[in-house]
Amino acid sequence: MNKGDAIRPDEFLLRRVFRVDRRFIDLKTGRPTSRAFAPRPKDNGSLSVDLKILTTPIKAIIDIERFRLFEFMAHSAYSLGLECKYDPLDDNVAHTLITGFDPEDESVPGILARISKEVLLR
Amino acid sequence: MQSLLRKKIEYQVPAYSSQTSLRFRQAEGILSLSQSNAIAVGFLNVLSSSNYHEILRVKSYASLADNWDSYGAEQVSSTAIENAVAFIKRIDQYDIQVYLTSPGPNGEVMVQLKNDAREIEFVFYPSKAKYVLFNAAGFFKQGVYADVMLDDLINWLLSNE
Repeated sequence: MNKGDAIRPDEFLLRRVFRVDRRFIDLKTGRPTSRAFAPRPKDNGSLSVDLKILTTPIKAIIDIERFRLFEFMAHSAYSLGLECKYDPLDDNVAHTLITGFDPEDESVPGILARISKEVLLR
Repeated sequence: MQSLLRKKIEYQVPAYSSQTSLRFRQAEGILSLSQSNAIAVGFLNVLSSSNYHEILRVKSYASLADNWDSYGAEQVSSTAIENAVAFIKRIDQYDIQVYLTSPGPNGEVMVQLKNDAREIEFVFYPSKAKYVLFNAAGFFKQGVYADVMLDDLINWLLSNE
């Protein structure tokens, strides 16, 4: 796979969610909040994820004390009009970018948060 | 629609009802927590304990520095915090408890309301606010939020249809 290649719809994507102080976590359900799936300014409107098939949960989570790990299918992102492109980094061959977020569309982060499932490491 | 808020005010007027006295007890507890919290004094008879603590939580987002999520999140906007706090005070007048709040990576604050499968996310940015509705089927509707919409949105949240 080369940088920029489209991810197959049936592949799973992993998203780390910051867990310190539970700022991005619904304490009652364990579900991430929509803000955990909102693109960061530094990422120019894209969302960083890892391609599950190229990593392991332990590797993807980096620090189990600071993050939780959630997964969803690339198909879900495509169905929202987003694109999933392989974007390997020097220190992370699984790195993938979800692009195509419309800054005026506030629904997408909430939808991704609601369809994602936690990857349990224990 | 406006009757929702009016009902709340009428409901609070009768003194010594069990609900009213409960609220006073909660307020007394809040007051004893810290005298430095001016908001507790200003809203002694109004804010529920739950919403009061959610306001404290939102105010605490002001201490988050740039990159607070280690993913490059921006510092939470003081204007967004002020707007979210004002919104929670308004929501409290409907006798509704905020379900959760969350700081956002773009300086925003999200305030979420929930009633069974119906959820509303209010997202406060420095210069605008948006709302997103979710029901049992998933995403339902979104738009730019203005205070005049609140009655309609609360009605939708509380409706079982």
